[in-house]
Amino acid sequence: MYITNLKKGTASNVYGYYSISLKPDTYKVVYSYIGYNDITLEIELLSDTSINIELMPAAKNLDEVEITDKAVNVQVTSTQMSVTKMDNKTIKSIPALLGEVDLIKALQLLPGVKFAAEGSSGISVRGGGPDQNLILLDEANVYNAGHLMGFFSVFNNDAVKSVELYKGDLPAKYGGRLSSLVDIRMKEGNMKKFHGNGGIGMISSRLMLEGPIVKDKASFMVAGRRSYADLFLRLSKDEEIKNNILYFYDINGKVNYRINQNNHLYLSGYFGKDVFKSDFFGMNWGNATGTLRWNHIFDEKLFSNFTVVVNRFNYNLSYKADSPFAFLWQSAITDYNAKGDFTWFANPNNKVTFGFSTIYHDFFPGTIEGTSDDSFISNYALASNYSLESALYLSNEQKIGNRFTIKYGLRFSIFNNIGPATVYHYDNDGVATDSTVYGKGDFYHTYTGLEPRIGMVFLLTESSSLKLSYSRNNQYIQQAQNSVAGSPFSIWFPSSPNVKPQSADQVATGYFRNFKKGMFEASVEVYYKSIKNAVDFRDFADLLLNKFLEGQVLEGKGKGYGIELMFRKNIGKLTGWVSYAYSRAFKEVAGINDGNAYPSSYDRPNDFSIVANYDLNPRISFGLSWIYLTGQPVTFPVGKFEYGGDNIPVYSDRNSYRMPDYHRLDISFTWRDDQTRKKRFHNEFNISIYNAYNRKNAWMINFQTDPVDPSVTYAEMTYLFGIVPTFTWNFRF
Amino acid sequence: MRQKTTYLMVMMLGLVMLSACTERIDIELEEGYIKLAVEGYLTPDDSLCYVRLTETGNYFSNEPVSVVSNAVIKVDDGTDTVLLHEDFDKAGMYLFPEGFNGRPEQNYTLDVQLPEAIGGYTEYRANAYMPAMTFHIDSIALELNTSFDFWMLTLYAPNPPGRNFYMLQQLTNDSLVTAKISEVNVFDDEYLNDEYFYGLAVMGIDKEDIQPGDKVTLVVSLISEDYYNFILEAQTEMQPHDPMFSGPPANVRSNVDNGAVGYFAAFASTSASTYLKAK
Repeated sequence: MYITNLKKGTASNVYGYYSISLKPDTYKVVYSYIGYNDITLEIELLSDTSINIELMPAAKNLDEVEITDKAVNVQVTSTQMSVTKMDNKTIKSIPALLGEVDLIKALQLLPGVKFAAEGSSGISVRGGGPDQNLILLDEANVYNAGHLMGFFSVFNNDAVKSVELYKGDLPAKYGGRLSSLVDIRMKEGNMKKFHGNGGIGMISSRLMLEGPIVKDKASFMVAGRRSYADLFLRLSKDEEIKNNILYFYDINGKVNYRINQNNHLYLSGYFGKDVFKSDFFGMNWGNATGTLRWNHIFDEKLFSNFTVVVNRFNYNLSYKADSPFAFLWQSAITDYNAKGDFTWFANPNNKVTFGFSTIYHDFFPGTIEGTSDDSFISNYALASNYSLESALYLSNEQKIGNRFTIKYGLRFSIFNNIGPATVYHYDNDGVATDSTVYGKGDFYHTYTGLEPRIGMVFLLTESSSLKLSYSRNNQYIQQAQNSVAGSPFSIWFPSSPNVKPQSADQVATGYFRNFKKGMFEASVEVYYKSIKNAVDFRDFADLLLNKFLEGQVLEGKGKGYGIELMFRKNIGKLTGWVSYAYSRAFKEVAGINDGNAYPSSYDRPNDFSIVANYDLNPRISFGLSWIYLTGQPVTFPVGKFEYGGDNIPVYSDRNSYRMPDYHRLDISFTWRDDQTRKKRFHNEFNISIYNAYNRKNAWMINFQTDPVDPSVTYAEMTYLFGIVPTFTWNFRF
Repeated sequence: MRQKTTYLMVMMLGLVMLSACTERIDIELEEGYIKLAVEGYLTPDDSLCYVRLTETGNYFSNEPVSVVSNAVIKVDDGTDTVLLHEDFDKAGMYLFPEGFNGRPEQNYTLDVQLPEAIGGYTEYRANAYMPAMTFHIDSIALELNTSFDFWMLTLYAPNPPGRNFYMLQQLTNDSLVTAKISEVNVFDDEYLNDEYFYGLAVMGIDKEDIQPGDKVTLVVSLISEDYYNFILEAQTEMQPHDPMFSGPPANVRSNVDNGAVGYFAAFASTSASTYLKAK
C-alpha cells in the first residue's frame, strides 16, 4: 500500500497483513498487487483504524500504460537482498517440459540458480548443492521435490499462489540451510465464489477446485494431479514392458477459516507419491506434509502467527517376491515442527520481528530385509537417529531518515542429538575403532550458533537504491549424496560429535533500479560466500545403507563469489527478463584432490537466460525461454595402466575438465477463447516445444571399448532429451 | 552389500535410460604425467610369483603400454633379501628365484630401482603382509537358480575366526575363467556370523558356460583388507559413472610409494573342485 501524498508506503506480509503508523490527517492510499486491479481510497485517519481490502484479479493489461500512481517498489526499497518473487501467472507463461508447468524449472531460469543436472528438480543456488536449499510448502519442509526421478517437481502450479526465492540472505526467521530459501505458498481458496481449473496434458492431468465453505468466512482449495505414462507402456508388444506400472500423483489441499477480525486459521496439506512396478522390481517414494496455522492480531501493531507442521518423506524398494534375492528396503525422514512468529510495528520507523522455532527430526535411514522363505538376504537395519533443531530470533528493520533503512537481527540456533544412539569413533582413515552408546532421551551432544543477519538499503532516488547485506547461516542436516543429479534414495544425516555443522558467511552488495515507474526492473548484485566445515565424501565413499556413514564424511572449507545481472519487463504485451551471472564455487578438503582446492560439482561460471512472453492479443500468446550454462565440472581419465589383464584409468585432478556447454531453447504457443465473454467455462490450448533446435546436451560421458576393435577406447555421451513437442488443454470455470 | 546396491543402482539407472540416447563424441584429454605401474604377486605357489613393471599410457591409445626393463627389484622378508631377474622372453616381467615362494603371516617389502626416473623417482617401495591361511574348503557344489536360470557355485567351509577378506576365482576344466581383475569376486565376512558357511553362494555361472561333465574349480584366497579395497576400487572405476548414483571418479589406491599405481599383493590360496553332473 502506498500513500501518494507522503510518497511512502509498506508491503503486506505473506498472510496479507500490513500496518503503518501515520499522523492524523487525510490520505490518498493506493493498494496494489501485480496481476490485480489497484484500489485507491481516500482515508480520513483520526484514530487507530483497521482497513481490510479485497483486490480483484486484473484482465491482462496489454498496453504500454504508464503507471501514474507509484506502487511500492519492493525490489528497490526492501532491505532484503538476493530475493526474487514469482507468481503463479509468471510461472505458467514459461514454456514447460512435456507441458508440465513447473515452478522449480522456472526458478532455474533466474540468475544464480542452476539445475543440479539436466532433468533434475534439484537446484544449485550460488554454487551450493541441492541439499543446501530450504524448500517450504506452506511452512512445511519438502525433502525431495522431484517426481519421476526428478524430471518434474512435486509442486502443482495450479495450487501455488506464489514462490519467493532468497539466495543466501535469509530473513532471521529462517535458517538451517546455507544457500537458499524457496518459500512456496499455496492458494487459500476463493472466499466468494466457486472456481476450478485444470488441464489434460501428455504426461498428466490435473484439476483444482476452490470456493467458499461459508461465504466470506471459510474457504477451501483442493488440487490433484496424476500422470499416466504407464498407459502408453501398455501399447508395447514387449511383454516385459507392457505390464510395468509407472505413475505419480499428488494432492494439495487447504482450508482457510476466518474466525473473526483478529483470528484466522489455516489448515493445509500435501500428499504425493511416485510408483514404479514391474514383474520383478518395485519402488515408490513420496512426501506428505500437514500445516496448521493460527494468525492472531493482538492489536494494530502486533501480529502473530503460530504454526504446527508435520512433514515426512519416505521411500520403499522391493525385489521379486518369489526369489531368494527378494528384499524390501525402506527409509524415511519425519519432522515435527512448532513455531511462533511475531511482528511488532513499534513505531513508524521500527518494525520488529521475533519468534521461535523447534523441529524434532526423526531419521530412519533404512532397513533391508529378505522377504522370501528361502531368502539369501540378511536383515540389516541402520539405527534411527533423533535430533532437535531449535532457534530464537530477533530482528529490527529501522528507517533512518527518508533514504536509509537498515535491518539487523540475530538468529540463535541450537542443535541437539538425542538418544538412543550408538556413536562410533573413527580413525583418520574413517575406520570405526570403538563406540559409545546413549540411552533413550539422552541429549548427548549440542551445537549452538549465532547467526547475524544485517541488511541495509540507501535510496539514491525514488527508483534506485544501493544495498549491502551480510548473513551467516548454519546447516545442521545434510544429504549423503556425492552424485551430481542425486536420486530420491539419498538419505539425510545430522551433525553429530563426528560431523560439525556447516556454516556460511555471505556478503552481498547491489544496485537496483526501476525504470518507467516500475515497468522495467534492473539489478546488479555481487556476492562473496565463505563456508566452514563444508561437507564432502571420501573417494569411493559407500553412502548406501552404511552404518559407518560418518566415517565417509570429510569436512573442509568452501568459497563462492559471483556477479548477477538482471533486466526485467513486467508490464505490457512483451514481458520477461534477461539475466546473466558469472560465478565460481570451490572446495578445499583434506583427503580429496591431495588437499588442493577444486571446483565444486556445481561450479558453472557462465549462466545466461532469456525468458519472454508476448501477448499478441488477449487470446494468443507466445512464450520463449533460452538458457545457456557452462558445462558441468567433471573428472576425466588422463591415462591408464595395466593390471590383472585390465586397463584401469588414471584420473585428472578433481573436476578439472568440463562437460560440453549446455544450451536449450523452449518455445510455446497458447490460444485462449474469449476471456471477456461472460460464460462459465473457458479453455485454452497450449503447444510447447522443449529443446526446439534439438540440442544434444550431454547428461553423462563415459568411455567405452569399441566392440569391433577392443584395443580402441572412445568417449560416449548420453543425452536425455531431443526435441520434445507437447500439447496441453487447459480449462477454468 | 556393495554388490546388492550396485545391482539396484544398475536397475534404477535402466529406468532412466529408457528415454536416453547415446552418441560418440570427441574429447581431447591432456596426457597426464607418466607414472610407474606395478603388478606384483607373492604367493606360496611359486608359479604365481612375479612382478611386472610398466608405464601408464595415453587413455585413448590402442598401443600396448611401455614395459620397464633393466630395473633392479628386491624382495625382503625381514630375514632374507632375494633379487628378482627379468624374464628373457617377456620384457618388464621380473621373476623370483626358483624355489622361492611366499609364506603366510609374513611381511614383505618390495624395492624397485629404475635405470631412469619415472614420475620423478628412480626408487619405489611397497609393503605387503600375507594373511594367515586359516581357511579350508570342505566342498563346493553347483546348484541351479531357477529364478534366473544360472548355476550358483556354493561353498561349504568353516568360517575362520575374526574378520577376513576373500578373493574368489573360478576355473573350468583347469582353465582360468576369471582371468581379469574385473572378473574376480571379493567379499568380506564381517556380517557373516555363522560358524560355518553352509551352502554360501559365492559365484554365478551362466548356464551356457559349463556343460555336464565339466570340472569346476573354486580358488579362494585370503587377502589383506587394503588389497580387497584396491580390487573393489579398480572394479568400480572400470564401470560407467552416471550422474544419479555414482560419486566422482577417483584414482585407485596403491601400496607402492612415490605416486606409482598398481599393487604388490601377497596372499595364500586354497581350492576345491566339483563336476557338473549329467542330467
